[in-house]
Amino acid sequence: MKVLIVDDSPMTLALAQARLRDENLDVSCASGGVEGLVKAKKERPDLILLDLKMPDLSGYEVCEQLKSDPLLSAIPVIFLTAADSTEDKVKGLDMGAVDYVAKPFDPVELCARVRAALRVKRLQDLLNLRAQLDPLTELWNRQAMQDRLRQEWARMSRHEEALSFVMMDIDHFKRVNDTFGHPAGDRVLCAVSQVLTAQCRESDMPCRYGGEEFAVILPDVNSTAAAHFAERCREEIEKISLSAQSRVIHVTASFGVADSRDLHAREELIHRADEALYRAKHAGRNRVVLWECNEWASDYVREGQS
Amino acid sequence: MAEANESHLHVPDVLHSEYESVPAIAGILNVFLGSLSEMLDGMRTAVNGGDAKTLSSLAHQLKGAGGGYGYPMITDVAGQLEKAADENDWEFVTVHMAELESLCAAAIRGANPSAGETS
Repeated sequence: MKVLIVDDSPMTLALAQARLRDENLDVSCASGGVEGLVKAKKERPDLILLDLKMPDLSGYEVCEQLKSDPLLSAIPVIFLTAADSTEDKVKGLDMGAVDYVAKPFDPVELCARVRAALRVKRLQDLLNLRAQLDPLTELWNRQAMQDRLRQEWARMSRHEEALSFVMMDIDHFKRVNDTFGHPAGDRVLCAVSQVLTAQCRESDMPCRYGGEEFAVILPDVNSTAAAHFAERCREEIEKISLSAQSRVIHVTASFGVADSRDLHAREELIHRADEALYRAKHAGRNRVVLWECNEWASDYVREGQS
Repeated sequence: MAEANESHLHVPDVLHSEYESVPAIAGILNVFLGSLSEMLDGMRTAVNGGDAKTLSSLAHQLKGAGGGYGYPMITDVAGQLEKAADENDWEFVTVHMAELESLCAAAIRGANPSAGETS
């Protein structure tokens, strides 16, 4: 785990680094408040040891800025300072610091407090991750997808890069549940999720949108490549074969694909992919439809096997 | 009878770090001892210029680091110096500044016995 030490005293930086050497941590240092904020943004540490009294920006000011930044606010802060008044300690803790270590620090105590803060951080990270995952399929949930789409939309707007969005729905899923029961339906959902995950790059984001609906965010991918991705998924889903009640379950899925060209709002991207999915369903299911290009779809889509 | 602003501190000839046998600290003691001269220069300049803010800041740094390197006496005296600077009590600043200089010289001698010897 990464720890950032922010202190204007080179003596304290060297000392804290030396004391933490045996903790198996990735430790970096900043020699002032301004540099500390820059490094916090760049390195996203798991813990910040923050001096209070620094000439350029006080530890309070640094802490305040960290806590007001949504990307940095979850990083725990331990104040590490020679200021020893109760007022200082209370103020620091009230600002969001998780702990306080007085300098000159006892090395054993410092290491123990760092370990404790990192233990809590690990649990918080785990909880945050769990809150973003669909418990059945372990794909990202809809809320996580909305958050990521917001970030990708902002990135795409800044860098004028492509961004594609795929929506997918398992065909006649209700029949699976009605015929084979909900446990079998859950197995189908998990098998489809595995197909999506296997086809995704690390930068893509497969999500369970709700029920038997799925979505995939494809950063830096144009609509043609996104449609090829969807077609690969469609083919792999067709190959799924699960046994239940001495019978074999086969499923197919329909896909709607859209990209961000000419769009002004990310909601439109979802709307277009949803509209394309609707068309895929009404054209007979088990196919990929790309928004604004039905001709392409008729060239590309393979009809499902009944 | 001793004056209130006289030093009552007994400064040993040599001062050893309490952590000089701890490898993690022994390896960086030179960082601390090597910074002392520059810090004391800065403090002297601040004292001569009546710059209580700079003096307080430098004393604060030394207060925070001294004990960590195994020199609790340096932390104590630097803390008193910081307090005197914060209170603009220049008589005590003079007393504690002299104590701090003696302690730092003793620490440097402790790490390097030949330092300060005349031949």
